[in-house]
Amino acid sequence: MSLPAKDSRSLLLEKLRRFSRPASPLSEPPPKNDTAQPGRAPQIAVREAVNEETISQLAQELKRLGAELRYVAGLENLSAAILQLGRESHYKRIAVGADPILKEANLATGLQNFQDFKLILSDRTPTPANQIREALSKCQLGITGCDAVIAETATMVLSHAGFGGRSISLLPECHVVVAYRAQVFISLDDWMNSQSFTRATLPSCTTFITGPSRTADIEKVLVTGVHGPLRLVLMLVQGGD
Amino acid sequence: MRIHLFVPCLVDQFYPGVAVAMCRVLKKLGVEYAYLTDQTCCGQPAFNSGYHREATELAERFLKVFEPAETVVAPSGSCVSMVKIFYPQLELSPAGKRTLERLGPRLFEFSDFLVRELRVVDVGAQFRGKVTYHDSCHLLRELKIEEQPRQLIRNVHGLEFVEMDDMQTCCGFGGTFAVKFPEISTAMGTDKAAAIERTGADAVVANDSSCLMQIAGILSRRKSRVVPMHLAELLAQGI
Amino acid sequence: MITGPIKFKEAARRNLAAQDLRENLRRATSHSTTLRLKAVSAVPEWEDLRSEAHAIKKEAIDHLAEYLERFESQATEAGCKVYWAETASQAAEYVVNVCRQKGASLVVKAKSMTSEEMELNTALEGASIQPVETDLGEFIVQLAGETPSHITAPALHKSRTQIGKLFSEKLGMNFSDDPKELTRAARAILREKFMDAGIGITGVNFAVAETGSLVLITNEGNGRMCTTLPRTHIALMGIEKVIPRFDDLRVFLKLLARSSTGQKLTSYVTILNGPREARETDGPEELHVVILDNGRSQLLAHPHTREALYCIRCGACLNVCPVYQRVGGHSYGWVYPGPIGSVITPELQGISQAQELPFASSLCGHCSAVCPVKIDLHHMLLWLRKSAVDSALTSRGERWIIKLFAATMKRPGLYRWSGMLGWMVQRILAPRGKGLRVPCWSAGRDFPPLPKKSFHQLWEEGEIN
Repeated sequence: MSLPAKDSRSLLLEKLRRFSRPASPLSEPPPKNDTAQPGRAPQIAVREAVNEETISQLAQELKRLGAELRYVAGLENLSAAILQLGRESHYKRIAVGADPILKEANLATGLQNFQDFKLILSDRTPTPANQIREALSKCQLGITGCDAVIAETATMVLSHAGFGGRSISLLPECHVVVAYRAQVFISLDDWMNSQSFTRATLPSCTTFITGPSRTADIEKVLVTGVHGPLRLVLMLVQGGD
Repeated sequence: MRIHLFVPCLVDQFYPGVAVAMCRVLKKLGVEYAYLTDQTCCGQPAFNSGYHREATELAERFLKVFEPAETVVAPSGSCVSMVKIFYPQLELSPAGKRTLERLGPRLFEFSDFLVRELRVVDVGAQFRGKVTYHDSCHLLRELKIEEQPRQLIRNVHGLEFVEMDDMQTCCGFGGTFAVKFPEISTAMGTDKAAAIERTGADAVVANDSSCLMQIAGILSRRKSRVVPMHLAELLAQGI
Repeated sequence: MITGPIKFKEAARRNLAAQDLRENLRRATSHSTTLRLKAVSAVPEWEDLRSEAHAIKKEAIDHLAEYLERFESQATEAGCKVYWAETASQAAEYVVNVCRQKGASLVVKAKSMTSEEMELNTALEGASIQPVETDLGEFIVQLAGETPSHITAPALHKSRTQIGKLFSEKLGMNFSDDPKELTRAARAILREKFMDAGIGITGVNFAVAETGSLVLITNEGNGRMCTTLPRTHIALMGIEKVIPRFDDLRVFLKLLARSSTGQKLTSYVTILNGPREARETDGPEELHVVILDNGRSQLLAHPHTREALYCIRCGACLNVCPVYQRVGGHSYGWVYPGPIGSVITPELQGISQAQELPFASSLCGHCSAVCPVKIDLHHMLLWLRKSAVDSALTSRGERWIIKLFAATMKRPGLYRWSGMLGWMVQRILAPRGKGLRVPCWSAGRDFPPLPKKSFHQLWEEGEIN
């Protein structure tokens, strides 16, 4: 491209400097030059578990958003819980992400044992990257873990590094988020306080998911499932602390 | 206590009864009042239209006329906010600035004067009927006067107070807006009148004659039975 | 670009008369204001949050050059390509060039008002590149060949029946006016477009200087789609989108959704730091960020209006504005309608192109009262009115009336005499006990009758005691 990029840049910056207030110096020191490797490993923010009241607030908030909450007694029961969800809704095609919690639950293997399901994808499926999204778009169920669950707003924080990436929580009809109870935080502030955000530690993409995809663009009538999942289910697993 | 009356030009010319009623209420409360006969307009129409030169001339004049006053009371949120909020944005003379600095804090809108300065909420007025109240925008959002008029209305003997829908929505007057965009202004006023009528009130009260001019004009065109009334007129009932 | 002065008055009169439009506007704006009020009332610290957000924006705008450079350096470190555009056409040209270079024939777009400023769709079409709007409202508006009438709800001016007819006509589907069915139809069509598009174009809600992050907020998930599937992502941002710190997001996230739709948080908040990493299987391989001025530095230069750059485009001022509620977004003649539009259009396009807009307000101040970043919108309109007068843009007739008015008010004798003259004219022309018929007033309202005596006269005659 032969655009005078530098020219418009310096012209613009010059103009901004001229029009800016001859103000106080910046209150914020420039960020430290992080030497850490870019890209944070998918991490689970675990800390002291929240109380019953917080969990019931989370449940209420999910309900208000049209999302669902299912309790799972232990990680060993996760496959069964998903099977049940699949049977109820006649879901057949399923994709399982590569999050630690799902691996720990041995979910890919666990689900393969059930005749009802066709496991379209898991990190064990040797599929070329460019075909993954086609396959995922045909899936009815996409299962992922998450970094944290925020009770106040019923928000799930996902960083999308790793298998399935951004698509697995986006393209299938129904998105199932699996989280330990210990991953629940009271508020977004609460969670943000527990993290440090720098350029080097932030992954290429983080998403706060609050309810299923929705719109009110036609006469303000709420419709869920525009581009993203029509349905959002949180499976809260006892323990993790 | 002794005060000076600030009778805005619209009240002086179209609604003298409002100022007369205000005098009656003040007298009942033992407030002495004087009237500076050289007063005309505070300059708001020029200011709101963008003519700062003319507005400044009228502001200077206003401040000169009111120079002798210590405490000033006006039956209008709009004209009071012109002086208190918008005069400081004009390029005034040093003398004008001095008067403004002294007078500004001692210039009161009528309901605010009664409730916060005199600490009176019951003036002894009597009114049989249902009354609703329209929040005038300048009163509400420039001067933040919301509760004072309501307290005064609620304490009128025999009166039933009822809030209307969207009581804090503009009536559509907006000064020169009303004549620059008459269709939009009338549409806003029509919705306001409908909200007033839905309450089943006998009277609608506001603290600004400009809003009342708009509301009355629409109600009258609709042949409505609701009576528009300035707060001062309501409070003068039966005293 | 607008060709010739915006004719607000004319358009407003036309739109005011359209009954179905009035009803669509009323329904949508009253829905949004109710939800907003409910959401805001549930946050006791709301006023503190507004002040905090105002202070953060002030810091960012006061140091705009520094924070933008910092953002640029962090985003570049993260692998973004940053381009600075002074004008809308420079920005559009850059985007078209990227599309050409990538050999893209199909572009998916998430809602971006900045792209509307750039008239990007026209530019892309001119280069034989098909832009597809993916926000449902934008999709509807694009199908209809219109422009958005609201900054967060582009198709708010249309009824379900109108949309149903549009879909059956343009998409060949059976008529339905069921929002759910219509949404499903759009989903199916757009899903294919997402899969096929080589380039995704989005706006930016916040650009974080500290970390080089781009923050994108959508309810529908189209923002995620555009930044997940296409191999190239182009993000368009105005210079005012930068915020100093990542931590500042917590303030803005609390304010934005509540002000806009009454939600606690929008369905999807996407935080992007550079293009996909080597080990990732999706997300764009290239991420271009276009930083656009397009007249914004003019706002910066004017002390009375620079705070308009604090705007986070929530749309609350439109929803509560009694004028917007009645005339709709298209009356405002350019991309940004409502109170914020009346402030920034004259600055971005020149006051001579938009001199009617600052006057199109009753100055009720509801806009300023709801603004989540405390922009003093209605007082800015007053300054813009002054600027219109100072630039001699108001009519000669009006200038004379004001001069005459001021001259009269400066002379108490003349003032009183004109009052009496008015009364005499009324006695001759108006029926007994009625007011005069006054042009620009009496079409829909009665004018008050002048009383025989003014207060001044009553006082002089000793009738007040």
